[in-house]
Amino acid sequence: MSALAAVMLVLLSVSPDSMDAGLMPEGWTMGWKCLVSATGNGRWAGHHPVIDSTDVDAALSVMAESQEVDFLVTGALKNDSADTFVFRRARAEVKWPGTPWVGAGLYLHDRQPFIPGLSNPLVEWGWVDIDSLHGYGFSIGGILGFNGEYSIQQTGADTLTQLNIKSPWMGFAGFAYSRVQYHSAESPLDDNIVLNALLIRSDFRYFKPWVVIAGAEGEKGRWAVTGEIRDFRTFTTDLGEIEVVPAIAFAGEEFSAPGDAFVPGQRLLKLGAYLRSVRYIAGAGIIGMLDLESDSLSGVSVIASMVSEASVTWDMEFDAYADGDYRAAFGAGTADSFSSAGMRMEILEDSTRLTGMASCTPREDVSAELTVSADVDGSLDPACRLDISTALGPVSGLIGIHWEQGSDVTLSINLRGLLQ
Amino acid sequence: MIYKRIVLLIVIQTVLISGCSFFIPMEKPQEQGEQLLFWMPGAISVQVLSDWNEWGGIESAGSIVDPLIGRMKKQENGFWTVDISELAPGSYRYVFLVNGHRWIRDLENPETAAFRDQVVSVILIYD
Repeated sequence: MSALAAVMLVLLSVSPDSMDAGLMPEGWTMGWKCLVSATGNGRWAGHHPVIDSTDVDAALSVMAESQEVDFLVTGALKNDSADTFVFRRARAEVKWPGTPWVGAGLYLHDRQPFIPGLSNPLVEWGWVDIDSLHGYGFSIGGILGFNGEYSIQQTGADTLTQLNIKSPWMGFAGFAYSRVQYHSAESPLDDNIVLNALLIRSDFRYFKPWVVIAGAEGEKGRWAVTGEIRDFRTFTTDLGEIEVVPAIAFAGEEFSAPGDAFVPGQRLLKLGAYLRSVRYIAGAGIIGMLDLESDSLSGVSVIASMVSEASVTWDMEFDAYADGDYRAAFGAGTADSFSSAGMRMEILEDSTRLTGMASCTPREDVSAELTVSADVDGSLDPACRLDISTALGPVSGLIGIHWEQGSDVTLSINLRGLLQ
Repeated sequence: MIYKRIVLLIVIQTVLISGCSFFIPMEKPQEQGEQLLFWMPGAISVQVLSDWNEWGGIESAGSIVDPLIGRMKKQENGFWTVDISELAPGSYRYVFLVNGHRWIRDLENPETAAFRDQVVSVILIYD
């Protein structure tokens, strides 16, 4: 706590104006920002609350900018069990004066691997521990509209390298190429990953095919491809246009990637129809899925929601699969500027959960929300939660009181602020 | 007996008339452009957490949600808006963070995906 408090006091005593005037050369501006999150968790014991744990985290960034060069340094202070300082990110970028899209950068950073797919990503956030990453990166952009980025980082004894190249729109198509290589020092055969992914976007005027091709080096069967025909507007209704989206998602038997975009060995055909309304707050979609390999992914999904003229929000979701799994959810609620109320019912194979919610906003910056939930058949315990939140510019606070049958009442307090 | 029928008729008529507005979708504000729209008149703050902003800070340095990142602007008619015209082409998942703690998907977008076991929305930005 002492290190965190010391840094905060130094920053608060030095205003950005005085930094600019006293320290920076002409043409440069300097600034800082500090994100602070203080959390306390406890319980209600007898007639008084008891705080069991506290946690104070801060992310401190200092930046300096000129017309040609930008600098940024970010560190994180953690105060869970003991004061720890984690050096998180440093960046130096050079820009071509007058053309800010041409430039190059050098990074010492916490660049997490992430490769987007067409809905779920090929490589998901959080695949590697954010606190364990450290390394270097380099980027260059602006040459004929292309930009690229390369980084090499260590996480423990393992090595992570990433390469990303993005093209501009070339009249009929554009692409993005990503390569992630993860070399595990301890178990080189099982945990090594070399993943190449290519996203191609094209435009045939009446529809826009998007394709993702992924391949992992090593054994045969480490490949995957997914494609969708997008923006194919078939007909118009009173509510809006209907977009029909045919899609495929195939993957080899040995393909694996740290994301949810593919299941190994899948042969999936999809046909979706989505209501796109430019006039109303309404959306709906129906998706049919045919799994050519097994029945586990064959099924149908329906989703519909809208906000009505009477300020009522409707929301419905239904998923059913050929192997018998299903899920249904229905919600409705109404709201005005002072209060809101609603309910939601979720039906799974083995339970039916009912949730009621009511909230009150007595001031523009204070809101209280009460949520009560219970199972119709009693398979899950009833629970109740009260959240009181406030948002005052860059500072937000949240007090939560949670009760579940058979458990103590628990309390949580969180205060987040942005100082700059 | 006749009074009961009259009362029943009034009830049915009331339900039908109110039912119309219950099920007629609300119109969007006119000047929309390339922006996300969210209707929640009683909210005190709404932020967009997404792949494009490292989920508000959850996936970046400090792992703390910046209270100002992705902050949506409140309009007079209960709508919250945020401009997305500067986004690069690609596929992005996103969700609305209401009052700093509730995750709500975009109700006018029927395409969904998952993030940390939550149902979130997906948007494709074309070139």
